[in-house]
Amino acid sequence: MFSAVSVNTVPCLEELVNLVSDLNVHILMLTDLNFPRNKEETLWKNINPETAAAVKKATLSAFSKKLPVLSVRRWRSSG
Amino acid sequence: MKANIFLLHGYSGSPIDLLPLEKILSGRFPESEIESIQLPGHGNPQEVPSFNEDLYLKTLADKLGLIADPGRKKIYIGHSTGGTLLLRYFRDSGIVPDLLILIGIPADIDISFLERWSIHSDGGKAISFSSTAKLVSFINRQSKLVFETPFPILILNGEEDELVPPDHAFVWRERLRTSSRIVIIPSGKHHLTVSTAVKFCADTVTRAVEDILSGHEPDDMNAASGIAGIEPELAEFIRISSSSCRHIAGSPGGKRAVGREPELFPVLSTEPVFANIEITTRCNLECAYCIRSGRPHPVKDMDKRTFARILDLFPHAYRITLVGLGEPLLHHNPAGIVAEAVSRGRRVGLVTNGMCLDKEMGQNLLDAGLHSIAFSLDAPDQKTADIVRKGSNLERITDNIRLFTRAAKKRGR
Ligand code: SF4
Repeated sequence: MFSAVSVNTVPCLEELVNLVSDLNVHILMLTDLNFPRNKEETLWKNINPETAAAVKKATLSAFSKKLPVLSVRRWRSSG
Repeated sequence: MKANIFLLHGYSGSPIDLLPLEKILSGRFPESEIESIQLPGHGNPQEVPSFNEDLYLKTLADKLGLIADPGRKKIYIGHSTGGTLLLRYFRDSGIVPDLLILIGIPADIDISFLERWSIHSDGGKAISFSSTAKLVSFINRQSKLVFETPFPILILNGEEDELVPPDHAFVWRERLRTSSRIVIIPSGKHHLTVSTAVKFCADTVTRAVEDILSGHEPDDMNAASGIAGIEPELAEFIRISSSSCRHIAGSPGGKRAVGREPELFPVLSTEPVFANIEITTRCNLECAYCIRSGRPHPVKDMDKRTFARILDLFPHAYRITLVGLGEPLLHHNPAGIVAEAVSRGRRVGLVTNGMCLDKEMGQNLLDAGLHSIAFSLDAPDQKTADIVRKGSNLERITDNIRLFTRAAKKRGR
């Protein structure tokens, strides 16, 4: 599964992890947005404690469901 | 590693036709011996000699039969009828070349060839009636050549060859059934090596020669085996394309497999081992973050031949991903595209939004040998999906994914 995450969708990231964990996929790849025109909505531009906590919670939730998470773009720096 | 490289011009031509390529090869491989063979009676720019098959084959036997240095690789380059003569010579002599490069060689001659000849020769050199008959007979008799021992063949053809259209290259590939690669040179004419296309042509030739001469080091094999431990398909690819070993070992993954750091130089000595290919520009969604959305986009599918051309341009790209600014499953035959790459030992994956992945599509892709699939999904509910992935139907997508992953699991994938 390949999912792009923005400041608008990060609040429902844990819900997305729940959905994905039920689809029999082997791995979840999470990425920040790319393309300059999306810069204002990227996580790296808008990182704050709540966003970082949401990322961490969703990632841990994926691990608890034995769903490996692959960080594709600037994800690790988001928490 | 040194080589003996032989060049053979076409009927009515001369070594001058291949001189630019010969010079480039001499500069690139100074330790190799390079010889351009002149067929008897050729070399007069005003006159076409009468066609003499026996004499030409005897000349080849005299020149090529004597070279028996086992320490050197033998590489042969034939242009036009020169390529056909080489094929015939190898069949008759049983000699197995290390690499044969065929440039613009005719698969057969019909009446339209004669019209094309007059365009090609620009009203200049005319072939006599009896020579035409002998040439036609010779070329058309070679259509059933069979080789006991397969050997690598690189077929080059100018995209705009006025005498031998690119279709002929594909006929030869079907016919020879040996490990052959076709490279169609953009805007190349029949005399590829004396036109502006010579750079592309020479680059392709030198890379192919380099692959034959370089072989691979034990460390390269270790790197490839390391990756094959994770991706077993690679072992089969290396079996088909052993020269790819060096390129795979030089890739970042290959370096890591033997505990080395990837080298990041602006110019690499190895070729790409991964390729992302966009097979369609069509899409059924308008995702908020996609640069495709909101822009006029010409609708186009890549045909199978173009796809095959790309694979041939990247002979070491064992991993192919169908992805880009278009939904690959909207292509008119995605399974056919997958099968084409799989038949060449490539490991094929694709990235899809899942909208069209119904049961039939899924079965077709699995039958075609698809190795991996990535689904793009950014929203856990339809309301969010309507904003970030406009046009998507979350229920349909998740049903399709479940159906597909179950079917794949049943097949052990
Ligand atoms: S499905 Fe892919 S190509 Fe189509 S609009 Fe969305 S991101 Fe772009």
